[in-house]
Amino acid sequence: MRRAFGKTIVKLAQKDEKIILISGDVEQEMDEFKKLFPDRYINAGLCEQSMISMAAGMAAEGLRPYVYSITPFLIERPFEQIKIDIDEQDLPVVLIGNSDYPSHGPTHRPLNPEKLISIFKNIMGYFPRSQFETEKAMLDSYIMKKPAIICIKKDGLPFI
Amino acid sequence: MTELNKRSKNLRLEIIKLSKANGGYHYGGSFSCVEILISLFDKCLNFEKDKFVMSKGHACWGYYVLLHERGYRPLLEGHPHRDVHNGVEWTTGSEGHGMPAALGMALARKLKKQEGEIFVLIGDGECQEGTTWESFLLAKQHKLNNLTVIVDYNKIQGSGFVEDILSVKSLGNVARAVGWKVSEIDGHDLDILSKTLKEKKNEPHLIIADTVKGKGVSFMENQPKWHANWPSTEYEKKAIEELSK
Repeated sequence: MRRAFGKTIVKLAQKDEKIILISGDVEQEMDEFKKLFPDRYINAGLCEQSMISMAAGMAAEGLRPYVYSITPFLIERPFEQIKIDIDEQDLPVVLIGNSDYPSHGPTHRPLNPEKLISIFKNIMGYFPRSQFETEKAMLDSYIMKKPAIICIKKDGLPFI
Repeated sequence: MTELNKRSKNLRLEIIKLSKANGGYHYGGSFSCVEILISLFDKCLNFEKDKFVMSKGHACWGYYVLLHERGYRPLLEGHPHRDVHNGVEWTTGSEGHGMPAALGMALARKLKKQEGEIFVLIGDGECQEGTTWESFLLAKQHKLNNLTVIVDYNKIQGSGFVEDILSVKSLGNVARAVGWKVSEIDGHDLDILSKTLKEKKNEPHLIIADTVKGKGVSFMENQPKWHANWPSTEYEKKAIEELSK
């Protein structure tokens, strides 16, 4: 699914120069994007809270930020920043969380993203089960121009 | 300390009127940032191209009065809701949101090669939030010389003196060490405020505005209990009397 993310974000960025890719120091499948659009790639380092608010601020300026990190670091750590800065203000930021780490221990395992995302007012949750569905989720959230969270994982792994 | 002029006193009177009518009671912080807001609105902001984020959301009443003067009609709740058509650029009230959001706006302007500056007002208690320190690093890293952060340094937070609870005295030194331009000024002096806000700079700018919590009403000044306190009719009368002199 990561590969589908990497390919689709490049495809979207080729069509829309407002797309910015922000990462929380997790650079999987981003080489092509970085090569083609170096000015539109930002590695925010390890400051997940500010990264979320910053992305929301960029969306308020008309850009289309996509923020990529490991699912628990992306959703759980900066939860209130997502609630106020993205969900409450209905800003079109897309968060893409990856949780391909079944053997990395509890820090790298999200609790239950489906439950967590379901309580937001405006954020759409996507839980693709294949590369095809990952691409579809990304295209769908782009067209909807709504805040979204897309949770990807290794094909066949359960979410929880 | 600086004498308050008519405009400053009148704005404080309007704050009492508006907040009382709408259930607000954060007088201390609302009064400490009056001159900062007046300088921004009267002298500094170019509403065509600049943006102002009121991160110190609980001190929203003076902000609302100034927006009203310009014909805007923001929702009058105890903390601002984002409503760009009515001049409110961000939803705030929970501390530590406005600064990283403002830095996102400033970064977007850089990427779009769009002029205009982003200003954000934060509280000194708010500086205890981790996002303040993260934002110092991020703004420097991305060379955001279009970002100005003003701290209403009134030295009192919700339950007491900032110095006793969790000191942020190192703020200026840290920002300077990270590579920000730092100005430490009298936060009630309109001339100095306007001049400093308009300064050209090559780095992100932190203005530490030294203020008095509750400024303008003798019994509120430097009193932690007036961070959030509903004034009795007697106190309200006294405050109005003092500000009407």
